Amino acid sequence: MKGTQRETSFQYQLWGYRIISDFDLGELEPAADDNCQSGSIHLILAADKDWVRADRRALEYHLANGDLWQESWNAGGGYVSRFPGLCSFRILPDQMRIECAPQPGIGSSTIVHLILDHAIPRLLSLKPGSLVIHASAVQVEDEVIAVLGQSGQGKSTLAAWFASQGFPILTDDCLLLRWHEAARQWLAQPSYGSVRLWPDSVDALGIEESALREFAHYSSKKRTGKQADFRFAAEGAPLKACFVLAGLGNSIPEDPTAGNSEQQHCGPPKVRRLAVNEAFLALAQAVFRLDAEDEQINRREFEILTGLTDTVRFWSLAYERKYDWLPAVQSAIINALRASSHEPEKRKLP
Amino acid sequence: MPLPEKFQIPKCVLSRTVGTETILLNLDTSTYHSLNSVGGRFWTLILQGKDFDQALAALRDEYDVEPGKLEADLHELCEELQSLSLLQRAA
Repeated sequence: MKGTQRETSFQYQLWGYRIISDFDLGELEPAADDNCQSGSIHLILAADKDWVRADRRALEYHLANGDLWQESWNAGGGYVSRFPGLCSFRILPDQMRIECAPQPGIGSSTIVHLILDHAIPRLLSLKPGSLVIHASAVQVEDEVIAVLGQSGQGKSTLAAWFASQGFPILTDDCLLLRWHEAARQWLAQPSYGSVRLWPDSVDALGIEESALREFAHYSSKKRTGKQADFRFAAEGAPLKACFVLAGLGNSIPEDPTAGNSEQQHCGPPKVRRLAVNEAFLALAQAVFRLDAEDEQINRREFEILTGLTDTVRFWSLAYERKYDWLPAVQSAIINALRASSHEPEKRKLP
Repeated sequence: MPLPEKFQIPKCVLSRTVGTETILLNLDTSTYHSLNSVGGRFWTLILQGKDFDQALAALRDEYDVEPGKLEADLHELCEELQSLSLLQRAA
């Protein structure tokens, strides 16, 4: 049964790790030795009553209405990350272990979502040589492009649109970048084979109801299953470009993590190259974190983010949130990539 | 004759030049800042141990800008950087 403990652990593969789990994470592929060379992550069902709270809160995120969405604090060699009313996690990076304590009555889909899309990305964000950003990503002409934006702005819809047009998708929400020492560059890593979509996106993309499952109890988003006719990338590839979604005026209010909209855009999609400070800020805002104040983490993150800003191309992308525009958005992105291919190669990291 | 103004960059401040801009991180406040090309060049000169007058002279040579305006802009920049604890007067 999903979200409940079993005597025998489940084993999956994700981002090169073997996930040894007390939970049924049906979205993931079963573990295969060849695909688990980064090590193991242990996912344990636990009770949070003994978890110690430190004095210092390391990070907190609030919803647009001011309610607390997530907080984390140092605790016994790791972090406790709490999603009030939903679930708490104790994340122990040295042991590559996540303890999960769901609140009573919280459904399995919500727990699985919080494990896959919050707890594991935040654990990996603590690993040197890794960075996890809130972005969707697809492969276009041998290059990986990422789409950055707030929840509800359309990252998943854009990724699903590209996937429906035959472009392999790497992720719809959590993009893991891993440093490849031999290639001296950051590789975007494929996540798992599912996309989360709003009902109107499901309709617009023509996805059958039978290919969908509940995403989380608090959202009308649906999660696509293996029946959806999307192509998922099998291997990592260099991240070459990022498109940052401009404020669209259409964030979806029922999504608890959706930010406030800033401005409307009407008419054909527009792309604009971002200045360095804009690109850096967009990346910095997209990072999955457990601790915003730890000096060592911030030093490492600064090096990574400035390096990415120096080597990846960034555009702002504004489009009217009508599905009829998606082909034009696709063309705008591809045209921008092609036009920039005539520019000198961006600096390679030393 | 007054001593030249000498500044130093606190150990808690990291910087890196990317293209024409310089990104700064204050580790004590966990906040990022950026400088344009002129500000970034000034920052580099301070990092190299130049005092204010030496940095000003170097920038006058490098940029086609009215000298009085450049000096006023740099004074303003120094004040702003100090207010953000990104720069401090050397002892």
